[in-house]
Amino acid sequence: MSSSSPTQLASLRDMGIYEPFQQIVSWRNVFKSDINDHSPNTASSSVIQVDHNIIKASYPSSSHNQIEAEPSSNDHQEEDDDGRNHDKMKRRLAQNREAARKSRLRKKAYVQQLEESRFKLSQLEQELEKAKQQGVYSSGSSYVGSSGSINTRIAAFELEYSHWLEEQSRRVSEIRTALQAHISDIELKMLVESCLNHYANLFRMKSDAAKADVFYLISGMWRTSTERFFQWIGGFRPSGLLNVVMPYLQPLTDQQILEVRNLQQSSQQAEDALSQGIDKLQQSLAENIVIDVVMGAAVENLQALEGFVNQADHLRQQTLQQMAKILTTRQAARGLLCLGEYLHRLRALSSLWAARPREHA
Amino acid sequence: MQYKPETRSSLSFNKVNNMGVFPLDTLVRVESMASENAVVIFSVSTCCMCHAVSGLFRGMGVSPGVHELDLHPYGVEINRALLRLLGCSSGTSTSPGGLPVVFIGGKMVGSMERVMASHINGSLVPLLKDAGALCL
Repeated sequence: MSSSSPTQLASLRDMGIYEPFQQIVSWRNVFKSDINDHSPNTASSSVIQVDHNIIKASYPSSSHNQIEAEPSSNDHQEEDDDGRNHDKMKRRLAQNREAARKSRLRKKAYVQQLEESRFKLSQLEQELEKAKQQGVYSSGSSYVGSSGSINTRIAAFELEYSHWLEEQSRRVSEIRTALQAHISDIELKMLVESCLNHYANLFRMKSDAAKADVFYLISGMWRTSTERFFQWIGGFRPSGLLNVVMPYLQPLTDQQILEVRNLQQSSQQAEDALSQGIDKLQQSLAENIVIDVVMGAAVENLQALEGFVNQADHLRQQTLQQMAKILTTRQAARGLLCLGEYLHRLRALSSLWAARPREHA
Repeated sequence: MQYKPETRSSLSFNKVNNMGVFPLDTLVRVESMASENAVVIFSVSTCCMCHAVSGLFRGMGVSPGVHELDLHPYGVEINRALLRLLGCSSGTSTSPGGLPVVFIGGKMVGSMERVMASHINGSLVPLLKDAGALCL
C-alpha cells in the first residue's frame, strides 16, 4: 500500500485527498454526493473534521500535488520517511474508515430496499387472496394441482362450478318468484325437481373431480373461506343443512315432525360413521408412513379417501331427497329457497370479510 | 386387500366361476356366516370404510358380527362370491374390492352406500327391528 500505484492515487483522488488545499469544500461535496440522505450528519462532519486534520498534518508545506513521494536514498530523508510512513498509515486509516462508512451506508440502503420489497410482496399476496375469493380466478383459471402441474380436469371443474353457481342463483330466484306468484303445485313441483337435479349435477361434477385430484376437493379451495369454515369431508354437513331449513318449514304435521326428527338423527349418525372412518384413515396413514418404507400401504390409504368424499356427497344428496319426500311441494320449495339463500349469504359474507377496510400495521 | 396366492382347488373353481356358476360350498359358507348374527359385516381389517359401517351400527346400539376376510382362510373366495352377489364389478364408489358388504337377518343389504341410503330413507331401522338387532 505504500507504493504509489495508479489505483492508490485514483482512490485518493476520488476521496479528494489528492488536492488537499482545495479541500474542505470539495471534501464536503464529495461526501454529500456519496451519501444517502439517511446518514447522520454528525458522523460525516466528524469524519471530515478528522480527515481535515490529517490533511493538514500530511501536507505541511508542500505545494506539490503528488501525494506519495518515492522512497529516496537520502539519509536526510529518514526522519521524513518516518514522518511519511506515519502519514501513510494515517491516510490508510482514513481510507479504511471511509470505505467502512460507505460500506455501512450501502448495506443500510440494501436492507431498506429488501424491507420495502417484503412489504410489497405481502400486499400483493393479500390482493391475490382477495381476488381469489371474489372469484376472479374462476374463469380461465390456472389451477396448479398437488402434482405441481396444471390439472386441466380441475381447471375444467372450477369453470363448471362457477357456471353452476350462476345457475343456482337463477333457480333460487325462480323459486322465490314462483312462491310469491302462487303458481300451481304441479309447476312448483317441477321447479323443486329441477333444483334437486341441479344439486345432483354438482355431486356428479365433484365425483369426477375427486378422481382427478381428491385433495383439491377436500381442501375446499374451490369454495369461499366462510364455506370452508363449515366444511365437512369436502362439502356442507347434511345435518347442518336440516338445521338451517327447519324453522322455515312450519307448520308441520305430527307425522312430518316425526319423520324430520328421524331424518335429523339418521343423517347425524351417518355423518358420525363417516367421520369415524376418516379418523381411522388418518390414524392408519400416519402409522403407515412410519412403518412402510415403500409407502404402498399409505398410498392405499389415500386411494380410500376418494371413497369417503363420494359417500359424503351421496349422503348430502340422500338427505336433500328425503327432505323433499317428507315435505309437501310448497314446503319443499320453501326449504330449497331458504337453503339457497343461506348458502348465497354465506358466500357473500366471505367477500364482505375480504373487502373490509384494514389498517396497515 | 391382500390377496392370498391361489390354491389348486380355487383354480378349478375359477374355471367354474368364469362360466358364471357359483362354487356351491363358498355360497353355503357365505350363507352360514351371514346368519351367525342379526347384523353381519364382511370386512377387511385395514379398510376404513368397513370401520365406518360397523361404527354406524354400533352408534345405533347394534353390535354387528364382523368377518375380516383378509384374515380368513377362505377370504378370497368369499370376497369373489360377494362381489358376484352384489352384481357389480369391484369398481363401486365405496372401496376397491367391493367391501364392506352388510347382511341383516341373513339377507344381503349391500355396500356402505346402500346401508346409508336405507338409513336416510327410514328403511334400515325396521329391518333391524325385524332381525331382532334393535329392541323397540
